[in-house]
Amino acid sequence: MQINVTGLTKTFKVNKKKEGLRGSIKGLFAREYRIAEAVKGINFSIDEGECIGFIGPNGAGKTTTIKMLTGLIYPTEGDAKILGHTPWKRENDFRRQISLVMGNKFQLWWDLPAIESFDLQRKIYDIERNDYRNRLEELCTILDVTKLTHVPVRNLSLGERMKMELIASLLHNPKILFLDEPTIGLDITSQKSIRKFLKDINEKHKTTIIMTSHYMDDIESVCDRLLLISDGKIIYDGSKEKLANKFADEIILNVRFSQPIAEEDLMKLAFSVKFNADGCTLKVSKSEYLNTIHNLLNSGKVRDLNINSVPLEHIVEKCYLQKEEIS
Amino acid sequence: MFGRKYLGVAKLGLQENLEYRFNFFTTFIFVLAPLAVHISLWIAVYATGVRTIAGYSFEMMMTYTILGHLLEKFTGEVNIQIKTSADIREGLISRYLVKPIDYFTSEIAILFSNRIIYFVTLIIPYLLVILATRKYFMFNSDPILLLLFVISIFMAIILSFLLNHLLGLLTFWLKEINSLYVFTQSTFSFFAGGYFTLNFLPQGVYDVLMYLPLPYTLFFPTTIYLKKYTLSQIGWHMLIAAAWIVLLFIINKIVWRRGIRRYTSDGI
Repeated sequence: MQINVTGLTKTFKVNKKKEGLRGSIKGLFAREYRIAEAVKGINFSIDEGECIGFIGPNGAGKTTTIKMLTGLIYPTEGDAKILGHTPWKRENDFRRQISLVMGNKFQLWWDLPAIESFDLQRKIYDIERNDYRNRLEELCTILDVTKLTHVPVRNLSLGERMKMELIASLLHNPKILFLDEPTIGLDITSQKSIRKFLKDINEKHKTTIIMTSHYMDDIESVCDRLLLISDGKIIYDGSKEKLANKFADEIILNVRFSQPIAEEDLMKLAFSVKFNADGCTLKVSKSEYLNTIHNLLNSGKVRDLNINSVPLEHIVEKCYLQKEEIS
Repeated sequence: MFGRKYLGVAKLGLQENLEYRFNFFTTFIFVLAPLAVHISLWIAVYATGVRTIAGYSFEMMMTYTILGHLLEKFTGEVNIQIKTSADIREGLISRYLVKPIDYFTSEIAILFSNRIIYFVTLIIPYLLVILATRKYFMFNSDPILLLLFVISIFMAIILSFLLNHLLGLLTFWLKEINSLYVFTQSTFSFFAGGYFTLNFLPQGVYDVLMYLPLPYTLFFPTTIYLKKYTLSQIGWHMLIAAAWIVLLFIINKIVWRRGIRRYTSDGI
């Protein structure tokens, strides 16, 4: 096991601020605190080369967990062992083997070309010159940013900057890459190329990836395993397929008709019918859907039919509402 | 190699500052306006006919004032307090915490690379001032004193950094320390001798002050330049300054170690 987390807990003392100026002045003398439990005794372990999608609603404890695993903050209770190290001891041997990329916080030197930051990474991580050159070329080629490394970072677009961030964080070939919302605010093209890049890196170098994101497309295309956290507790830990099967008791049929069809007839077949420009979308239960298709085709009015399972996004949305563990 | 990464940090700090800091025009205004006010004040005082004040002739006072202003700009990195505070509050130290590099050492590396920029931007306006006041500016050509002067400036830079960095670290406990900054900035300047020479203070106060770190950030180097100390006095005071450097270094380390446990890495 590369990562082993047991009973990891983090509580914060949150200042209870009273309203208005009077409240602020009172607060100067007698502060009231509320204990907020951000992470409540979570357990999991991760193997080398896994791609983990760490998801949950805002405030669920994702980022707090990432902060503990990367050694930025100390846990209140519990333990974590990563590559044999305790992260918050911040031993150099540990820090050399991990990397953290944050979607809304940059590590590159803002006014200088990215190549300068890369060169500093080389010095910080003591990367051999040849390794550095090969690695830089490899990463720049995959992300198609070779020409941009000499442009001051502040003049790059958000997508280009994020690609540079990824390069900077991978130059030392870390064993584990932590990503906190790496595609936030990026356009679809950049999102896609970053997803593909992460998958490539994972396959080629066996880099373990632990990623939080609110975009289910990120998770679906990069991650094999989901860790679903809600209200500080892990409520699901397993493959995305398994989760999909648990919740996807519905099948979605997109149907186009060659002749008009009465809505009442369709209502008999499905429990939800929605008409749109092209035709209509039917939601049917999984146990029934073959039957429904049979009936639809028998009507002789179907021109085109598409069978889809419920998107992961909807499944996850359902999970967020539920606080209990999903076994 | 240990030092290489910090040299790298220093180099990038220098390059980044070059993008902005080379603004001679603003430096001129910011540097020379307060100095002009300060100098006119002393001209007015000595114009009343007094020969010396607390052992300072007009020439010595002019030299003290000009050098004092220069040193305060050059050594007094009060910005460090604000920068350290912001780095903690906005979670920027996280960049360092996840890498095999030390924040404190990096800040010192950047501190010294910044000195190069400061030197280049300050030297021309001050040379012009000294040229304009050359009749009253005292020139010191004693090589030993000049060497000790340079060493004392070096110590002043470190002391000033350690003090301001330490205050910045208080952000781990107090979220907002900018109001404290306004207070410390003027207090520091006063006890460092930035407003007037510490020789104006009662002997008892002066004696106590010289056991504290602040006079060593401005008053002490300037006084060496003015030949007001014997070599053995300089040696003794340098020992005190060195002791403060060691002590403040240790306190900084302890406070950091305690504070980092409270760090919440906000903003990531």
